[in-house]
Amino acid sequence: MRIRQALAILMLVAVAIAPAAAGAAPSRVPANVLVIGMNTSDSVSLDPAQAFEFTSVWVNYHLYDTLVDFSRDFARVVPRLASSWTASADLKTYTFTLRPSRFHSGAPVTADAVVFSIQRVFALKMAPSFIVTDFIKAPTDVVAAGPNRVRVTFNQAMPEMLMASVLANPVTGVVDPALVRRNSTPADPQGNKWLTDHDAGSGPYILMGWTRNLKIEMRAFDNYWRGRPKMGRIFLQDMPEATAQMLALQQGDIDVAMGLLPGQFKQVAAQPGFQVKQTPTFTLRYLTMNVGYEPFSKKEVRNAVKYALDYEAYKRIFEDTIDPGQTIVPANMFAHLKDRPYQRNIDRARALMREAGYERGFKAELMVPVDVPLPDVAAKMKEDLAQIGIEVDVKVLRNADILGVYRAQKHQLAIQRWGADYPDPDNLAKAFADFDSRVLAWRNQWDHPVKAKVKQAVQERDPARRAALYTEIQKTVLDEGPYAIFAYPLRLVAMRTSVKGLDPSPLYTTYDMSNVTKE
Amino acid sequence: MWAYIVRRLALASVAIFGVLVIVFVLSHVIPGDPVVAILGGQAREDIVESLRQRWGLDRPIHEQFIRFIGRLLQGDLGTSLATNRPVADDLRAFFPATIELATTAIVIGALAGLAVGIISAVAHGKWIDHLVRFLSLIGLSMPVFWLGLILLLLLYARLGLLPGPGQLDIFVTRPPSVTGLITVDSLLARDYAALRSALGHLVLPAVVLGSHALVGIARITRASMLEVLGQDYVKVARAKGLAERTVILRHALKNALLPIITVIGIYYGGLLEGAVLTETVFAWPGLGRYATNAMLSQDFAAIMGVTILIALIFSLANLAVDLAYGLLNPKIRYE
Amino acid sequence: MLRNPLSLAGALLIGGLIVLAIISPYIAPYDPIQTDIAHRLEAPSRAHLFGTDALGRDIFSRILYGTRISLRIAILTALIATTIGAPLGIITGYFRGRVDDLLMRITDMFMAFPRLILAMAIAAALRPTLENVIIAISLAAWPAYARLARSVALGLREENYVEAARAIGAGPLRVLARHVFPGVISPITIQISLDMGGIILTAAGLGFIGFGAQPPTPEWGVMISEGRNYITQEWWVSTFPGIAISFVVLGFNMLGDGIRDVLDPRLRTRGH
Repeated sequence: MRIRQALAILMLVAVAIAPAAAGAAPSRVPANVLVIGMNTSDSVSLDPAQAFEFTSVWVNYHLYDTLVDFSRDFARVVPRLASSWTASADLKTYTFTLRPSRFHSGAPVTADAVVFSIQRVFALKMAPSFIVTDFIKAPTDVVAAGPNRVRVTFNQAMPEMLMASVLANPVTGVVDPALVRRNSTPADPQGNKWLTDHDAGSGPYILMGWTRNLKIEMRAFDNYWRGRPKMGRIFLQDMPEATAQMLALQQGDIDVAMGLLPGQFKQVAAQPGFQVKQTPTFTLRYLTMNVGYEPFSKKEVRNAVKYALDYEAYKRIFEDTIDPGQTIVPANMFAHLKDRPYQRNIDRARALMREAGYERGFKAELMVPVDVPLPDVAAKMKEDLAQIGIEVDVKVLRNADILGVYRAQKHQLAIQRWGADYPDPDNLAKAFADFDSRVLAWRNQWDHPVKAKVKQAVQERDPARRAALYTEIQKTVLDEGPYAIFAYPLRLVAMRTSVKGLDPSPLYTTYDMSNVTKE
Repeated sequence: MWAYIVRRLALASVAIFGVLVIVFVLSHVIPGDPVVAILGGQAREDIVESLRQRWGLDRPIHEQFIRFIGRLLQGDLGTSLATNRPVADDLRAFFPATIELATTAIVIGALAGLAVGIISAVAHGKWIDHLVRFLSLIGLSMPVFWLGLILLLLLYARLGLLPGPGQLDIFVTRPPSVTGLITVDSLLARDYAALRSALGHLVLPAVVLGSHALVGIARITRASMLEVLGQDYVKVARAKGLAERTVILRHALKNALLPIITVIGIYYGGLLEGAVLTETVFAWPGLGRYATNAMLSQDFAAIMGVTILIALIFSLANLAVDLAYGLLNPKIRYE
Repeated sequence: MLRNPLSLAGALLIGGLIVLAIISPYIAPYDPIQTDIAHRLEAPSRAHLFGTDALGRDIFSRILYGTRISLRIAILTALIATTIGAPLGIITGYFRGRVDDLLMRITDMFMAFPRLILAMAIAAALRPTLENVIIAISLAAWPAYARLARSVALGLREENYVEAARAIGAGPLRVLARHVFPGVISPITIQISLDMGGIILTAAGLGFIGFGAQPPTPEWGVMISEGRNYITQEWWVSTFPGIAISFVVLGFNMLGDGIRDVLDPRLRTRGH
């Protein structure tokens, strides 16, 4: 009898591990509803002045209109709330003319509302506020020049794309002032608590509800100025487990899976009924070296590390979901430099170590976030660096813990990522090369004269000269910087073939869901 | 007995206060910083600094603790850093899902455990008894989260017999919240589609969560029944010619029930522990996941709130077990 | 004990495990840490009995080496928890009074909280390493041992032979060592043997939610957690460590049952 039981168990196991039946189960989602499986737990608040995480910024892109927008291919600036605009000769002052449009509450969108919304960003001073305050000196520099005209004065010359870096960013999404005031309290005069999970926007979708750890639900806005979007309802279903997303996609419970693992994308793409789309992002992955740690104070050691890494292997560990790239301005962005001088060359790396007086090597601690497949990458790096005598101690930690150490400048080696806050090389140059911005160069204690060039480049109005400056900055960081940039991650999304029009874009606003249809 | 209850409650509050101190200190010595955890890697230093001040995190630990206790005494659990909402609201939102899951799990575990235990005891020494003991040992030996993954893969992904992760089918509208328990709410709203969906989603996580309780209850039932079946009055009942079924259910089980109920109570409290893992696997929006997320993002207020709630439930469950024990067994007196 | 087939199987399993742990370096076909990107995620074959993981490491070799880690966790945790718990329990139970009250309040505190969640909080505070996992589980587990030792000591001090020893002038240290301590050994042994499986499961659970050992350590719990990302296709990555854990825990559970039956048949009615 025990044998029979054992056989039954064996059969169960056999069914469980047999390869999945090819093809898609019929969808259980109604035709006018779009269900997206993703990890929404990053989201803290949907208040546009506070949202700084992937999910909330993306949702807000649909709930709130901004003055302008980038075209999906990121080639030019297109109108959104503002139907047209003019710039002053010094490119410091822009005047926008608003199109007639309405908030979800029915109230008209006015110039006062735009002014109110941008001034809220100053008042709240939340995480994304620097995107505004780096370029606009004071709240009073945003004024209503008439019922439907807004004038914005910047603190420097702003080429149109740089202007849009500020005014297309969802942080400047326009909120309904009357609604916000009605839901404010003396302790919270900006209505920040209420806006955390309520909607006061005029975008193509209306927030129906946000149940944490469950779903964010949106409904099409009938009176949107561009016309009602096709999908009547959108659910962002919280599925933190990649495997759960994968199963739900195959079972027809969701239309789109955003958070699959590299290998799973490959697997889904091979099955009929599914498609995987991919796009470059404005994001970098890099191994960072703290110049404050004695061995890394030597440029030769830093470059030896760059030569010791096996870039091809990392790409394979990432299942080809990264593009190779080594410069700080990612592909597809203005002034991107294609150079990739570092390829695995152990002899060269050893020579550099000798030159620096470290032929006997040294020990270093490498902090790596738990996210798949970074621990695997770290394990490979440990091997690679062992070849030039660097004995690496890998510590896998929650990224929050790493950031605490990183910000305190106490790390030695760490694997980190940076996503452009706004799609302009200035953001990356400031982060990676400008010590005074107190971001990455500061955290790695790399105070290099190139920072003057960063400050100069953002002011430069002539595109050719501006590009030349960024080329120079990128070369300097490449040659001397404390970062071994090893990847430009791609953004992948898996979906049923019935889903049309969900085209990813390299922008932080990623996918525009207002053009999506289902067959 | 009331004096006993009061004494126990007093002791429990002392213990919970101690737990609060421990967890408060622990969560404040965690390397890293909740502000950083929430703002991510790209926020500027000045903003991190200003938020730290705004939330009072730049103060010394003891000062923060005194402030926390002061607010707690006024019934204010503070605001979660990660959800930007009052912790009390969050707990209210997440608690029912766990209660629903744990209750279903213990009902399944208790019923099945009792049945298996009785069968095993009656068939004492026969192959079915050995088989049950062997299978229950295997059940106890499998990691809950692993079992959950395998069952999900098998019953949902491969065979399509059961719905997948989550509490409801995605496009089933949640019935208006009265109790917060979806099954009860959908009954109240006479929304049978939602009820069916909710029950379907409950089965798998509840079975997985209840599996260890099932095995434990089955084992204690077996042992307890065996002891009782050997007693004189059972022999007498048999001698009187009563039907075997009556002997087992009316005479034996009734007297064997005491330790069984105790164990059921203990397991009910212990399900909170399994909930941490099960809720992660099944994307269940409950307390276990809230606690895990809070610890992962070092969300102090949320950690403290969830700690208080879990310790409270746990202590009350233990108290209830002891009381039930006394009620069922008059020989025990409370000092 | 060996007459019971279940506990015999348990003893054999655990015995085999210990042997495997000792000889694993000699019989493992591959280095458990050396990566081989060219052979990543390969299905089980003659070259790789249990397949390879995301870094091309041989899962069979990793599981073999993992026996050492699992044993270390289980044994060290049991050791630390009893070394803290048992003496405290014996002493306070024997002398009673204020110290005893204090100990009870402290154990109340620890026991007002589910073990895994407490261990999670501690592991989170200490940073996740193998050593800290052991410390976290030990800290969460010791009060149960202290309580057990205390209750046994409480009972023993009233026993005639202990009172007799006191009456003929034996000092408290001598009474504790000669008369109380031996009485505590057997219930503690039972508790340990029943707990071993639970300790391994708790450690695996900690690994699963991200408080586990550090790569490239071949710890089984972490291996499952790594493998769950591949479970739909490369099922072997997390299936084999899962089976390995189940086997070891099964072995400890069966052995524990057997030890309990031998040492104290009366305890048979109590769950664990």
